[in-house]
Order: sequence, then C-alpha cells, then structure tokens
Amino acid sequence: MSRETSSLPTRVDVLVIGSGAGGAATAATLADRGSEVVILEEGPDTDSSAIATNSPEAIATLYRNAGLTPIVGTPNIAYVEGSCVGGSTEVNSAFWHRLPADSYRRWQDQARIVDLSQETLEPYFDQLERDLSVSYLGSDELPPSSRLFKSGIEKLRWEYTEVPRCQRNQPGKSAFAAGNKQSMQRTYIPRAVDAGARLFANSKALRLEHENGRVKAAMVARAGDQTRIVADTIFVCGGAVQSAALLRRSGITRNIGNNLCIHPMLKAAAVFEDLVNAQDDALPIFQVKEFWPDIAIGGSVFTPGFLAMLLADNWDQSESAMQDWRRTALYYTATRGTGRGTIRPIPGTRDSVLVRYRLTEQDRINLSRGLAHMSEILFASGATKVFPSLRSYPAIQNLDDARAFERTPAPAAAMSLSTVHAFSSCPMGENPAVSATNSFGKVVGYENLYINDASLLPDSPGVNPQGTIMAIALRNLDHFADAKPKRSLRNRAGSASSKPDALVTGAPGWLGSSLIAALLNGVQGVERWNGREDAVQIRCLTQANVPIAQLQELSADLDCIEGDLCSPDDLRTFCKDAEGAVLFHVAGLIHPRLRTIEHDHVNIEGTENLVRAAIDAGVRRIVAVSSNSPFGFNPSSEHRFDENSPYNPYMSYGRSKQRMEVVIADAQDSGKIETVVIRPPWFYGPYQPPRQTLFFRMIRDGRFPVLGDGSQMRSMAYVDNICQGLVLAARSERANGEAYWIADERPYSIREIVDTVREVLEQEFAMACSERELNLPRAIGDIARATDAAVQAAGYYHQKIHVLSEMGQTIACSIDKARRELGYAPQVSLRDGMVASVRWCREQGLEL
Amino acid sequence: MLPPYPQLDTATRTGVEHDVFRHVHRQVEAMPAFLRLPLRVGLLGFGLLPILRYGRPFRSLSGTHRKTWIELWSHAPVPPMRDLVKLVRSTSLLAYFDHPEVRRSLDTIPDNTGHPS
Repeated sequence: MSRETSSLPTRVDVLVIGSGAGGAATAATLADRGSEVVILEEGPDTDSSAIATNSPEAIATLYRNAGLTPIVGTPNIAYVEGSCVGGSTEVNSAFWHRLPADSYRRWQDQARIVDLSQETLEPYFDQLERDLSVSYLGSDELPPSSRLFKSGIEKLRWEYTEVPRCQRNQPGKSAFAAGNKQSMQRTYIPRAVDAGARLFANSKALRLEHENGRVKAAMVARAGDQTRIVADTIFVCGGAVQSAALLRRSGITRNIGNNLCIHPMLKAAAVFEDLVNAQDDALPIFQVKEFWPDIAIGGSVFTPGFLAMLLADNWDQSESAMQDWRRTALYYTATRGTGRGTIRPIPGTRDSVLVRYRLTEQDRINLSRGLAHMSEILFASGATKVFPSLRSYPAIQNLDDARAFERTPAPAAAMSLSTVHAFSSCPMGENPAVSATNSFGKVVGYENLYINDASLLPDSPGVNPQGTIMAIALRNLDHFADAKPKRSLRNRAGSASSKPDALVTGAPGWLGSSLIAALLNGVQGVERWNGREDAVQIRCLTQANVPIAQLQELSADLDCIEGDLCSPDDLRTFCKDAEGAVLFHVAGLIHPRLRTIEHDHVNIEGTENLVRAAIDAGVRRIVAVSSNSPFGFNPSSEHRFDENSPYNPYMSYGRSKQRMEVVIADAQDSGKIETVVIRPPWFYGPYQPPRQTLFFRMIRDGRFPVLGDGSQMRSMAYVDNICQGLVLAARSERANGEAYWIADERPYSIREIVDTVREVLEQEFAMACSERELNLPRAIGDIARATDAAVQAAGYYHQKIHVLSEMGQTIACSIDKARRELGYAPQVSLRDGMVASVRWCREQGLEL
Repeated sequence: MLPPYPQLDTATRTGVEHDVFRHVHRQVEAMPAFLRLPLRVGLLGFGLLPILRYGRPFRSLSGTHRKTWIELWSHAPVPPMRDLVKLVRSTSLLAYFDHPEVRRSLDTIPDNTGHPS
C-alpha cells in the first residue's frame, strides 16, 4: 500500500474524505475511471492483520477514542468505531448481508428515493461479493461457541441463518487466520492506490470551504500543520458521526445530523458445563431470524477481558464467574432501533462531537425481549447461567428468570448498551423534510459535494450494514459518472497529442507552474516566448499520482503526459512530434526522502534519458535548470560566483547537478541539439513547498537559526525573475551553448533576509513576530556539515541537517552575464517577493 | 479494582498494574473534550473525597475501605458517580484480563471443574 509521507497536495480533482467501506469503494471506482483521487484518512495507516484482534493494542491503535465513543442518553451507549485506514472494516466481524426487502419499500415510500430496488442493487452486490470473497465457513470449522448456539436454536425450532463473511478461505488454514478477512486494506484501498489514488493517513479534514453552492476546498490537519486542499469534487465518507460533524462544522446543516439511527445492542455471557475456549475462535456465525426485524440475536467476540468488562456491571457478585472463563462465551441481542439521535460539533473545539440518542420505549422492550429469547437459546444449548450486561441483575439462573424479562422489561438506566452500527445522519432521498442529499448522495444545494457512506441510509436496515453501504456507494458512483462530463487533461504515456512548441518537465511543481504561466502569458515585460500570435502549445511531463488541477487552471489546452524521467519509453512519448520545440528541463530532485542515490537517478540518469529522447525527436533546444550547488560555497562573503567559476560540488545534490551540466555540455558538443544551462540559487515565491512555509513560521516564532552575526550572503531568486531568465534563454540565439546565473538584483545577507521577512509579516500582514532570535555560533554550521557529510557518505539524506549545514556559508552569484547577453533585468525585489509569497500562503489558508 | 486472580509474582503484578493504569489514563484522555474535564474532576474527587470520611485519600486507604468506597460510588444515587466507577472498572478489567502476562497465567491454570487448560 502507498504510504504517502510527502506533503499534502494543495489541488486535487477528487477528494475522498474517509477510507472505510464507503470511502474505499468511492476512491477505487473513481481512480479506476481515470479521476485523480486523493484519499484522506484521519486514523493511522496500520496493518490491521498484524495486530491481534481485540487486543489492547488493537483497541488503542485501530479504534476511535480508544474504543469508546460515548453516545449520550438514557442510558449512555458505547459506540465502537474503527479509525484507521480501512475504517471499521478493519475491526468488524466482516459479516455480509444484502439489504432486506422491506427496506427498499420503506425507503422508497418515506425517503422517496428514486431508482432504488432490489433489481437495481443486485448487480452491485454481485460485484462486491466477488471482490470481497464473501463466503461461508466450512462446517468442519464450526467453533464450539457457534455449535452450542446452533444446537440451542434448533432445539427451539427457531429460524436462524448462517451469515457469510468477507473472507478468503485458504486451503489448510483457518478461515479466521490473520489476513483472511477481506477488509478495505486488503481489497479496495490497494485497488485505489494501484489505479493512481494517493492515500494520506493521519490527515483530518477540519472543515469545508464553500460559497454559492460550490465547495471550494477542505482544510486538513496533518502532523501539526494545516493545508488547504482545493478540489473539484469532494466525497465525504467519514461515517455517520464524522461525516455529519464535518458538514455541520462547515456550516452545511440542512437535514444533517438530525436523524442518527443505531442498532442498540445488549450483551450477555453464557457459562456452559463443557469447555468452550471461545477465546481461540472467531465470533459465532449464526444469527437468529425468528424475531427479525425487531430483534436480532447472535454471537459476540470473546476474550477474558471482554468477559470481565461485561461482568463489571455487577462485579462484586459476578467476579467469581471469571474462574469459569474457559467455559464461557459471549452473545448479543440487538434491536433495529426506533429512536433517533443527533450529531453536533461542539463550538469552540476543533473536532469534539456530541452524539445523542434517545432510546425509545419500544427499543427498551425489544432489548428485554431479546435478552429473554437469547437466554432461552442459551439454556437450550446447555448453559448453566447467563450473565446479562444489566446493572443490579447479576445472573439469570433459569428459564423462568429469563422469561421474566419479557413480562417486565429491564429499566433503560440499568442497561449497559453498545453499538457498532450507526447510520442515517445525512439521509438520501427526495423528501425535503428529511433528506440531506438527493437519491444519489449529492448534498442538497451543492453542485460538487457528495456523501457516500452509512450516513446516507434513510434508517436502520436491521442487518450488518457494510454490504448495503458499499452497494449504494457503487450505485451512486455510476450515477455520478453518467452525470459528470468526462474531462481529463491527462493522457497516459503512449498517447501524446498535438505538436508542441514547448516541452516542460517538472510541472506542476513550484517553478514548473510559474514557467507555464510565463510561457502562456508572458512575464515581466517579456512577450510570449514563441514570438507568434497564435497560442503556445505546451506539453508537460507529469509524475504519476501527482494532481494536475493546478495546471488545468492555467489552461485547458495543456497537453499533459504522465511519465517518469527514469523511463526512456515515457520520454520518447513525451518528445514525440516535438521537432523544433524547446525543452525546458525544470524537473529535479533536491531533497530525497531517504537515500542520496535518488539524486543520481533523477538528476543524472533522468537527464541522460531526456536528452537522448529529445535529440531523437529533433527538439531544437534544451534549457536546463541547474543550481548553485555544483559550485559549493563562496570563499568569502565578498566573492561572487560567475560563469567561469570552477566546479566544487557540495554533497550529493551538488555532484548530481554538476554531472547533469556535463550531460548537457556533452549534448551541446554532439552538435545535435542546442543547450542553455540556467543556474538559479535559493528560490522563493508563490506555490512554494511546505519547507518554505516552515521558514516563514520559524522566523515568526523566533526559531530560525542565524549562525554567527548573519552577515553571510545568499543570492535568492524570485520565481518570476527565474522565469524571465528561462524565457530569454529560450529565445536568445546568443545563449546557445552558454550557462547563466539567474537571481535577484543582488545577494542579501542572512540578517537582511530574516529582517525582511519579519518586517513583511508584521507591517504588511499585521502578524506579531517573536522578539526572540535564535543566534547560534557558526560552529554549529560546521558540526552540521560534518554530520551531513557522514550521513551522506553512508548513502542517506536528512533535509534539516543539510539545510543547516549551508546556513553559515555565503552562496552568492553575479548576474552580469545574463544582463549583458540576455537582457535579463529582475523586476521583483526581495521585499515585494516576500510579500507575494506570504500573501499566497494566506490565500491557501496555510498557518504561518 | 483489580482482582488477585490469577496469581502473579510481585514484579509482574506491578508491571501489569502499571500497564492497566496507563490504559485507563489513555482511555480518559481519548474521550471527547466535553467529557474529559468532568472525568478528570470526577477522578480527582474520587481520590480525595475519602479524606472527609476516612481522614485520608483513596490511595492511602486499606483494602477493605477501598472496596467500600468503590461500592459506595458504584451504587450511588447520582448517575455520574456510577458511570465513573463503571468506566474505570470496566476499562481496568478489560486491560487487566487481556494483558499478555495475565493471559499467560490464565492459560496455565486448570479450569474450575478440574479440566486441564
């Protein structure tokens, strides 16, 4: 599974919030159909099969609120919900039901859902049952707790059914072996990722921004940061509680969070004469249908801890029952739930939710009756005692005790209830009095906001809901696909179209996006670089799984080819029919995730592949973006690098960029292609990556390390200044075969940079900055450099150590040659550039 | 609130109790914000109010007095008092009986009727 450790994107086509049954099905289906999909999951990306089911570790890791979300009412009800990649499917029983027939009629009548019937949903159930390997347990694997339960039901001649599960039965292995359950982590999530979806765990959607019936963006919290993600379409799939809470917190409240339905559940422990060892088995697989739809009875998962928790209601009288734990199994009775609940985010809190549910008198009666019937079954199975989860009701000793609960239902306040099923908080349908969405999950009043999870069900289905949730999700997605005009800017490698004037690698990155805008619209007084009246035809090379919505905003006519610099085939397609074009090679790797070898793969081999493909296709000129890093540090703060400075590469990145320049020079020497090398230093400007936003934040907080007196000089380059240089380099005949330093008007001292940023934050944006400053001795930079050298010598990379190693040094250049030969004239000053950068951050909702 | 069953050596029991405490603490901290503060206040009250009755806080009470105090709250006419004890007791017992050391010990003990493990 793709574990995204990179930053959250800022623009996506489709944002899916939640990775449970509804979210995973939504993401996989849309990704399969070619949409760019990003999945946000609030919980961790933890392999659920690697954790012992129902262990304290599982409870702490895989469940929301450590396994207990309180639903307030009389009584309070414990809602047990998964919160991890795959959602509750990672912790549930994996029982599978199709939607009962009576639900279709009721939902058509009361919710006025259109086009929903057994016939319309059947194909989706069929598909899901194949995808999730829904199957029955072999009879030779029947656990004792199931066997006993079944014998009791049969003695009473009551109707029951064996419930199939989403499981893959492997020959010779128990059906309940770890990894057999076909949860979302095993099925739809990998499918979504394989189809190009990106999954970000530990990422919580805090609120949605919307205006005039259109959702614009989601604010997302991750690792202490907040990111604003602009999306064309948003699917909210966080489950009945979280979906409603998110929408209400965002000010979307019509029929949201007012209709919560649950299946309240009462458990009991049954002690048998013979050993059951229920802790070794999965939960019993039979459900009693005799009293359905009002009452369901079945088996529950057993551990000694769960037994003790049940006995805790009457511990002083029931404690001794723990001695019989090996002869005990747990069972439940549940009711469909006629009550209704509400979901309200708590004002002033980031994500606290108050969930309430009113247990009706009928619910209470049904649960008591269910307890009575369950006890009858268990006594018929050979149980000697039944311990219900009722305060002040320690043990049911015989049938008379059991039947008493039918005549005199237990008080609600005495019941210890739980539930694992919640739905209907955002019901779908065409009934304006209750429906939050239309019949297909589109939120009423919004053109691009959908819900696709348990919230949609108009009321309790009375059975385990996973099947219904997923079937309805798939049905809704077919409707979404039919209604939405197919529009994709992206062509898979192998299908390049049109003859380009310009090829750009590194889009939609920081510099790449700015360059495309410059090529389309001109920049800083430099006209469209192709010098013609007609539109510039631009083809971009984009990485797989990188959203290109940002590029779509620049132009609908961009030709985007998905490909990899390390793939010669992809690059051949990228360069196809590009005879006479100019190739802007902007892509590069500065900060690898872990290994320095990635510098070589991308910056050297990638460039070699690209040059070869460009020459073969007849590309006229390559304008390659290099760096200051091949030249190391200036020997003094007064010294300036120029185009005659010798190579002195700093660390792995510097060496890789030096080798890149050599590749370009060799191409020039071959006579088969023109080349220009552009050497920009430290960039700044809009569309900056998170590390640059962190730079602002550190200055604001007084945490940015200034080594020594801060007099060391740094050349910086505002992105539009660089784009001017790139366009001039592409147009100038004189530039063929040359290299140019492109930067701002002059270098700045570290002191001046820090003071400028602080002044901009305080004066232009009224943001208070800390009076503190982190002044460190220059020796810290030397220590960092030594550490960086050791780390990189071992083949690894640490971004912060590397950046710190450069902080005490001067890295400054002269732009005289670019001025002289290209007519380069940087227009944006440091202060104005920082103002533009901070303004962009604020517009994105980034926290500074 | 933890039973003496099964038998554990002192060091193991101390470790188990420490883990149970951490689990209960984690449970309280995982509660929604609107419940967390009342729970903390409730636990503080549970721990300090015995001073009024016994002249010493809960942690300094004898085993008998501790049990009495717990049952007092467990059967109190005020629902939040009952709910607090229920939450702490059930969470403690869950963590205790599913603790690997306790499970290991349980597995070695013959069944109550003399059936072997």
